[in-house]
Amino acid sequence: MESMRVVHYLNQFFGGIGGEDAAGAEPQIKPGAVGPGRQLQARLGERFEIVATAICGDNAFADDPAGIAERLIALIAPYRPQLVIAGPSFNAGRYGQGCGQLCAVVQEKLEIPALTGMYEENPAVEQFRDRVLIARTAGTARHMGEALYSIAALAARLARGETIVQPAEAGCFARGLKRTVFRDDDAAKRAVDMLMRKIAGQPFVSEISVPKFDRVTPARMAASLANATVALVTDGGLVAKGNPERMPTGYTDRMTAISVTGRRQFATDDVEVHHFGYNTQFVSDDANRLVPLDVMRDLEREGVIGKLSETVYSTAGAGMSLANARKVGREIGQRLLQDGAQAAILTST
Amino acid sequence: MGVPTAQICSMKEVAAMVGSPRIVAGRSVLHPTGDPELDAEAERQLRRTIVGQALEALCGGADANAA
Repeated sequence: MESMRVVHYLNQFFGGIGGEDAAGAEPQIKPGAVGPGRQLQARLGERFEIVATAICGDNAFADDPAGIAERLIALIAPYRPQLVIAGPSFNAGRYGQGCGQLCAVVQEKLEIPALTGMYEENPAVEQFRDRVLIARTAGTARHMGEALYSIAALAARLARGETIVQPAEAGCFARGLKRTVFRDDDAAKRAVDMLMRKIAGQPFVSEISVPKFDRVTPARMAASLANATVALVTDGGLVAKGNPERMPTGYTDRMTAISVTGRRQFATDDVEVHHFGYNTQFVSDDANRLVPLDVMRDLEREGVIGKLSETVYSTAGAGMSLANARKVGREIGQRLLQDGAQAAILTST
Repeated sequence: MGVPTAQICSMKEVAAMVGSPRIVAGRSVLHPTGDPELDAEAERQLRRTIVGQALEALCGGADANAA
């Protein structure tokens, strides 16, 4: 049987060009396996042949991810690969970005599978795991041998045309795909079995994966309340009358800014509520039940707070993915800082 | 530098699970800062109480979850 043609990608360090001083190295390609690629070739065995190694400096890649990926593709394509393997990049941030970016573009442009390996805390895992198959590795290159073993095992499964249904068992990160599988026992029995194992102190694997939430160090008030500008934010789906920005009722990656300049309270001719996650009748009748504008104006007038920030930020927090919630949260945070807000009250339904 | 926040919500356990630092109980999922069962004056007073708790929470440290 003819072997599968593989192009391997490495950064400047593993590609033997140099260390941090060579991180600006331009994209280049060398025939055959280079550096850890030789060990990878040994792990892959005769069914695969590393026909070339593409190399680029981490900084060069990080400065222009899309442009560099395109140039690497142009170098890689003439070798007619059937698979591209990048890294592993362990916990290296810029290298991980490069590997993820290249794999994603290879799959899209060359329409062949791509594969890489990373440590779970490499930020590129969250960025690319939905699109790119990423083998789980340890945190440092000291574990290169094991990492190449995992990557080679995944490559073998890809070559056999296998579909990976259980990412944990396959040693890779879940892409978040859902597939129908048939189980012998029904859900009630499986749940009770899990509970019994838990009570008995035995190991069990939940069928529901819990997303990992960031732990952010909370900010503290820098000014006294009486001198502070306080903002109002909601995930309850408040929009301007007529919903001019066509905000969705959920599953969104957007927020809307509503000016409250000159308004002492919300009235039904000013705003509407669009959110598919709850019955919006009561807050549509009186939006102050969702965003307490009237009371905040009172407190502003009485001098309890320094000032109410004149823009309310709103989104519909229904069915929102963690990634979209992060994006929307970051945008609102930046806008609050621009507005000079020193504190925010968030109302959630 | 970040912006300190207090969250008024009804599903407090969910807010705590995702790491919301200052959590204040809202009246209901359907109307966090109001209550259509009350007359206008009492509702406004309720809203003021809830907002007051949020402002108090803002001035405290994180995880000093009020009411």
